[in-house]
Amino acid sequence: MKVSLTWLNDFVDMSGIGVDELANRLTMAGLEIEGIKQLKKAEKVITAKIADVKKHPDADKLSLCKVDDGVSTYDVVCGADNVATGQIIPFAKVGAVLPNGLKIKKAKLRGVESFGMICSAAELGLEDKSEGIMPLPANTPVNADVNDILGLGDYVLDIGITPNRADCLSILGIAREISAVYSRELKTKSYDCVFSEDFKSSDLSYVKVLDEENCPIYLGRVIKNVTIKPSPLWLQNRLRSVGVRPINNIVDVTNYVLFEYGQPLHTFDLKKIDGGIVVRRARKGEEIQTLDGKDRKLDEDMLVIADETKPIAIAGIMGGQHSGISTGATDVFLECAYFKPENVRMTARKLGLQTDSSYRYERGVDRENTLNMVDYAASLLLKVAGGEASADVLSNPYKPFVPVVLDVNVGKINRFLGCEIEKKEMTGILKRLGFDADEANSEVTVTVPSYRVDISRWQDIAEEVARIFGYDNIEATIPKIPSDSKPPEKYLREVKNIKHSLKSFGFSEVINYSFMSDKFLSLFDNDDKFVKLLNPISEDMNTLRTFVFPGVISSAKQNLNQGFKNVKLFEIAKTFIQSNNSIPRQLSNLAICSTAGFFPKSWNITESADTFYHIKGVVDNILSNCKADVRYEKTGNYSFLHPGKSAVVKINGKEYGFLGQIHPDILEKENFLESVYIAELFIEDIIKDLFPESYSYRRFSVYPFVYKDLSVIVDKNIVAGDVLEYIKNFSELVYDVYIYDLYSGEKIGKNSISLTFRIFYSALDRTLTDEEANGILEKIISGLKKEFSAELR
Amino acid sequence: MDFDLSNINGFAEEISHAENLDELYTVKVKYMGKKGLISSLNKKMKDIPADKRADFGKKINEIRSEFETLYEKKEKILKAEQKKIQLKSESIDVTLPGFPFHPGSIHPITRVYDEIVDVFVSMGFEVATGPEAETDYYNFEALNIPKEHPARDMQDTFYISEDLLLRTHTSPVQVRTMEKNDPPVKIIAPGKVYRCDSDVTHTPMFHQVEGLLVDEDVTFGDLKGTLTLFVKRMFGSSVPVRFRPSFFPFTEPSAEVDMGCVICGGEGCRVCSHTGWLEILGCGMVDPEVFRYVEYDLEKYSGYAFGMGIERIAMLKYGIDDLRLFFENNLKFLKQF
Repeated sequence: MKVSLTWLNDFVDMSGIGVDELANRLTMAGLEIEGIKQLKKAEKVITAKIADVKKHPDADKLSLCKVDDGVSTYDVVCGADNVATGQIIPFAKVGAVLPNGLKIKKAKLRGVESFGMICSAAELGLEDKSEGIMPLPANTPVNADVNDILGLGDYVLDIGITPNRADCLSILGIAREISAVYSRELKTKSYDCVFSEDFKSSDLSYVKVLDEENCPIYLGRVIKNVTIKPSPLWLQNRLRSVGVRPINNIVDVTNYVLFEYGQPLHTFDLKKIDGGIVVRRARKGEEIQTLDGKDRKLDEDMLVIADETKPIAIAGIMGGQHSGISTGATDVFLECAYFKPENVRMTARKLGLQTDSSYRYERGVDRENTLNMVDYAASLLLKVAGGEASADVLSNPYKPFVPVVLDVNVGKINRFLGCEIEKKEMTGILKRLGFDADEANSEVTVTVPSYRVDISRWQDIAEEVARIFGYDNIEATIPKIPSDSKPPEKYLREVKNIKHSLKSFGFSEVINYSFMSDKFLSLFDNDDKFVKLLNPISEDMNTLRTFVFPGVISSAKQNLNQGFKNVKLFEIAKTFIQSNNSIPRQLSNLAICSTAGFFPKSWNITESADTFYHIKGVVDNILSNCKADVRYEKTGNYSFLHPGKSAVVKINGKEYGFLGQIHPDILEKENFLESVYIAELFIEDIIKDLFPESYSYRRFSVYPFVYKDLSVIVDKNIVAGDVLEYIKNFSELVYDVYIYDLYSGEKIGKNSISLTFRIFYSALDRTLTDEEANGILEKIISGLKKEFSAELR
Repeated sequence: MDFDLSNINGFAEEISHAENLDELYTVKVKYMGKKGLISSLNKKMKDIPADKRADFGKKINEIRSEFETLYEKKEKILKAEQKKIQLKSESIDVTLPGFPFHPGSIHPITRVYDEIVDVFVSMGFEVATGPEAETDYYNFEALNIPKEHPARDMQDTFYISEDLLLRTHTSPVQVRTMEKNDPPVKIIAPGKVYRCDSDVTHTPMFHQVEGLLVDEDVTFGDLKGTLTLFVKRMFGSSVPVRFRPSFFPFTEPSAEVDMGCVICGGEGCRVCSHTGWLEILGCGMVDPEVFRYVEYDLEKYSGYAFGMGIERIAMLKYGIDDLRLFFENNLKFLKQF
């Protein structure tokens, strides 16, 4: 909302208030100042009359003008189309300085000398862009300073108004705030209402409201014999100062009242109204061409202003083209109404049409002021357009306004805010804001003014008191927070640990959007699981992810394209899966990803196993907290993984994730520069189901380990994991076992593989002897022979 | 008679001349070996007259002990020298790079997220979480934002169906928590939120932390105290903080919290739009309508709520000038954290 300081001065004495200080105090009272602009003054720019206009001999688009300032006549070359003899115009003489700093010098244009410049509104800083020069009204005095004539030098504040403060969408509303903040009196505006007794509006038209729910108040008044012409300068200047371009006197008056009092008005050409005004819902299939020239389809929820045959305006939003005021109009029907905010908002949203009028109706205009406004607007119309206004006002039989009355306890408000504001100060603040405050009893009886549609509870009163008292004046205290706080739950704690472990392993955390293209996602999952957005930003972001790794490999791809090698990334995020419940299934997964070659090539790494085993090692590490056996099973379930290099992670027989190389076909199709390995773990389930709530101590053997090595040859179709597991579970005395060598080659035959195990033994109560250890080893060997047809190497 | 010990007098010199342990052992064998010159003195004992045997024995022991002393001393020196040579030969180039355990990184959002959570947890708040795909009821209705409310304009919403949406704030977690628990409630709700908006200063997904305290006698002053403490913990104790009135449908009174611009120190710069202040938090006293929805006793309890964008705090804390960097996942960016 833009407000000019001189306009505000109509309602509150602004003398002695600096603009920066005002901006700060209004901001601290809840009216955030988003910008301060000064309409800069011009130097030596005066009003003058164009005495003569001739064509430039050598340029079609230029004119040679004689400009008369009442003292002398100047030859001026002008490039505007709209220049004409007899116009009063702003004239910048040689030596003048325009508001934008431009200095006017003598110039030669196509061989003709020019002594000054005829200005446009843009050149005077009044508009962003102008077409042609700015002719001033014919009665403008000549040789007057344009700063006075056009109101230059004024300050304009741009204020961000929060949606609750409908009352501040006007000059009056802002002035009221200033009067409260500065404890200055709010002035009321007087205006003359000389209305005609010669005719009655009710003889010429009528008002019938068929939907009182959505249109509680509808007032109308006829003004006859108006002259449509440009508005006087004072009116134009005011509108321009708040960023509104003047159109003609009728439109300008309705805009003026809208900006000054926040009351939207509309004017119809009386001749175009068939019969009278009917406020009703639109009928099925009805259409209207609005003033912006667009055809609008209406539906039965929308409220319209109609005549006997057709809609002539969309209530509270925009008038129709057909009944609008055009240059030939002489008799005007002036509408001043109160429409229900919800309906205006719904209609504006459906039509995608927001106007200064709908913006105010949606938030709530002052319903008590409509009658006042229909008088004020009529008086202004008479002043700037002539004619006669009827004394009577057409109206539906509306109900009187019942104000909200609240009993407010001063102590309660102070306890709520944490301060000690005296009763007198509180009521003073409220009165300055226009509330009635009766302080006879211990409770203050507050009557809420009709324009404060946002106030209905004592807490709202507390806010009014607090913001004018000043939030800064309320002491900051530390609350007593109850001491029974629970620590963050296990999942959150463990996720934090996992992230930091992954960082140590060389993985960088990424964060991708939760949505991606259904096309990409369907490379990895069935689209019947997908949760789609109704209004995605683009087709690339239309589906919520069902796995996390597709986003992570996309990030990997980008980094490969940047020239990075050995890219290692991870992400923990929610996945979204269609479900029969009211909301989709949402569990967090962990995805990790490494491009081929986990470690970079380095002088100190001699050979490296397939990257699969690095990823697997990382997964093992994360899962080492699970107090359960983790099994990896080869799988064909995931077609997007390399069939020979992929596995599912099973714990207690349940799948908790998968890992492997992304299928070469997909990598090729998606133009990956290198092969990519991933693991996706259902980490929320894993932590919740399998991670211990806390650590618990178990007694351990104080005696040293005994270890034995064992090499066996097995058929290469035997999987190492099974052999490992067999040995590990063979006896309670086996503490740990790992594979420390693996060999395949000519020496042992093509179809065999040699595995070398190192087995650690330990007993709780003694140091095991070599004999005991060998005894177990013998048993393991015969067991392996039986189970796996293993041979000792 | 005197004993002829001339042939054994040279050992001191021989020991001192030994250049290495091998030479030293040779000396030892020569004198102390089974047939060594000193050892063989014992055999001469029988040739010694009985009255002189004791003297002779004593003499031998003296010689033996002298030998041992000199020998051990020399051995120690030679061993130390040898160790020195050995270590020298084992020397490696310590400037060659170590095993490539190159560290990864924690996303700056996560870093700030954890830091914010830690500050509030240390004050006694609990961490609460909830679904990101939410119902209209929890995201709007129960927070006093009915369907035709203008406040819905403040938040462009991604819809999944008529009634299902991506949460536009983490406030639904507050409602869900209050539904399940009676006061006192003291939670923070961190997480991802979504708004249908994408340009230089908006991403369609971002992160928030919201907080809620409901108890008897919670005041607006308490809200000020809590958040002032928070801002100072995050940005340093000298940073100024101010509260100014604002509007949120779920709080009354409402406030925006500004802190002194960390870029220009309050002088005014591009980042703070030349105001010297940066908006970092929205907050207020919980609106009675919200309590009504969750059936809390309006007379007995009061509470405050606040919310902030993690990206904004991360940008200010780390001097990041482009919001979109957070979601581009470029390693040149990520590896800085």
